[in-house]
Amino acid sequence: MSDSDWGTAALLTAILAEVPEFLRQLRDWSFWQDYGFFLQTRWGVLLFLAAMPLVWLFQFLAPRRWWLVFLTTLSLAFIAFTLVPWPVNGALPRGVPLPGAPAEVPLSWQHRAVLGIFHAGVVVTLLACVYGLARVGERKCRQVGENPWSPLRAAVLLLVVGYFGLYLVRHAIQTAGGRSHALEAWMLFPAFHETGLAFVFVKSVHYVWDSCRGRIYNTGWWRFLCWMTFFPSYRVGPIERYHDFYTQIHRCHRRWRASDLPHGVRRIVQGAAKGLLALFIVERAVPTLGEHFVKAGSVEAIPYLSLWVAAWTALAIGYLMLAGYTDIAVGLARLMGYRMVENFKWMFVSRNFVELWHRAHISMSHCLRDYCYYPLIRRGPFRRRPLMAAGARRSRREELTQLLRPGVNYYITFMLCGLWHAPVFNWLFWGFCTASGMMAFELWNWFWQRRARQNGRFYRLLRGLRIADGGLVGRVLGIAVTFNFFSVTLLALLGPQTFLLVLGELVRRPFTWIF
Amino acid sequence: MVADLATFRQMLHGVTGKEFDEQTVTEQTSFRDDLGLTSIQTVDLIMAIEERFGIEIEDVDLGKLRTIGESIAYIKDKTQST
Repeated sequence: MSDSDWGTAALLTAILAEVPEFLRQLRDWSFWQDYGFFLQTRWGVLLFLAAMPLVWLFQFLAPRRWWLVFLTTLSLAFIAFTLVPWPVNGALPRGVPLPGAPAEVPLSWQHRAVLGIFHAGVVVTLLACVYGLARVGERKCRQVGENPWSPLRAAVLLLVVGYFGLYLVRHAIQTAGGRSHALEAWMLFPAFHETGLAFVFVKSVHYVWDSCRGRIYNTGWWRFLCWMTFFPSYRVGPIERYHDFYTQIHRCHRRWRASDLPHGVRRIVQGAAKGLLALFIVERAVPTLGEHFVKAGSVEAIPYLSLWVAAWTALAIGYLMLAGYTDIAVGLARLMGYRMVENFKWMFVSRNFVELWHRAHISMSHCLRDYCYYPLIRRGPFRRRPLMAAGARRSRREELTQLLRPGVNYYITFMLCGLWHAPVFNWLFWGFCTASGMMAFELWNWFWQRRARQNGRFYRLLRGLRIADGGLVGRVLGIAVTFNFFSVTLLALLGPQTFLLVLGELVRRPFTWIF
Repeated sequence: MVADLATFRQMLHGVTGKEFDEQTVTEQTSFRDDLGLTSIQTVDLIMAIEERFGIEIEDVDLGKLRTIGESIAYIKDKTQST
């Protein structure tokens, strides 16, 4: 083994050596205080396990309407009392992203309770605006008749402007109030992706769009509010479609299977374990990785495997945090007999980048596909031209042009997805990198389909080696390439300079070994 | 025009350029998992279906057409209602 290999082995050994210390720390109350923000926002929903007996009481004894009212009330209480952090030792807990604030921000329980109730009020007001927009859009689209796209486009545009406008409102409050109002601004409009507003936006697009198209009938404000605020999945999903939600709600009213309890508990425990593992990686593995990189001095001096460990760590953190919360949401809902959609389906065995996005964060990627990608590629300025109408098979150049032009829609979709996470350049760049991965696969697929049609010697050889045409070796290679490519795209969140530096090293070094 | 497996074999050949036999193309065949269609190819197939059967498929319905069987059922449902 080379010196650099020993470097990565030492790194992994150092990370594993942190495990006993981390487990010991879990028994220390001050650790839970220090990580109050992380734990409250990840596991706060578990407090609602205590409310399950009451939920079951209403589920089985109350009429459906009152059960929905109870669920809505519980969900609003969840929004008011668990989404934003409670004080620890009279101050905001460590880890709250509060730009411009001092190291310790004093916060009393009363102040926090008032801010929480106010935040819930803001959410209800925003939802009322969305509901009103859907009603107006629905009426206008009915008046316009056969081609209701203009009122629909206007409604969706208003939603998008409103969503990003909230960021500006928060910034205005922070700027006008100075540091003294940073806390209030943050509490009123906390990091959207941490506290549900980002997912409320996606559900709003779905609701407004489908209402305008006549696919969702108005069943009243309370049902809308119940669906929008459903507490197990309010914070980070999964995103339930309106009809799917009510199908499940109707199915589980006064109906419950014995298998729901163990299944629900198992998923909750699984989710909590993933959250704990994510905490270990963030609290122990990442600083150790950082020390290792600082010791190396420059990117060129970092061992090759260590660069991959960094990429895999980024993927692990993202997956464990999101999948962990999803498991808790699915488990909590299952305790009520409600079967929530799954957000992850064996994403690490995806054979290509397109398949990955059908296995990872499924509910979100399906919304992106249905409300952004498909409308763009079918009706947008870079739409796909019909193949069948072309008659004879096109030349290679024509085929390539017909592939690259609608491929722009991948870029639009994923860059919008990046901005949805946060309107900052690094997320936009992540969207660009992800779309590039999708395009790379489309081009790769097109290239090999041409080869398959020609059925030349090289293609027949690859098929014989079980690499081409869905062979086992090809599938394993596909899984490895997809997994590593996805890990590397997450490094785009560090910014273009760092990303290109790391990517350059990952690509360059194997060539220097070979040549 | 009848929505059946033979029609789908023809349309899939037009979209991918590949010949599919009767064992590969069944009602349970998944466009993505079994035939490896990409998103752009799925859109090509949908446009071919719309043109051939004279129907309009909503964007939000595209995601539900995962297998050939589901697509045949959808086409029959749409053509009967129009």
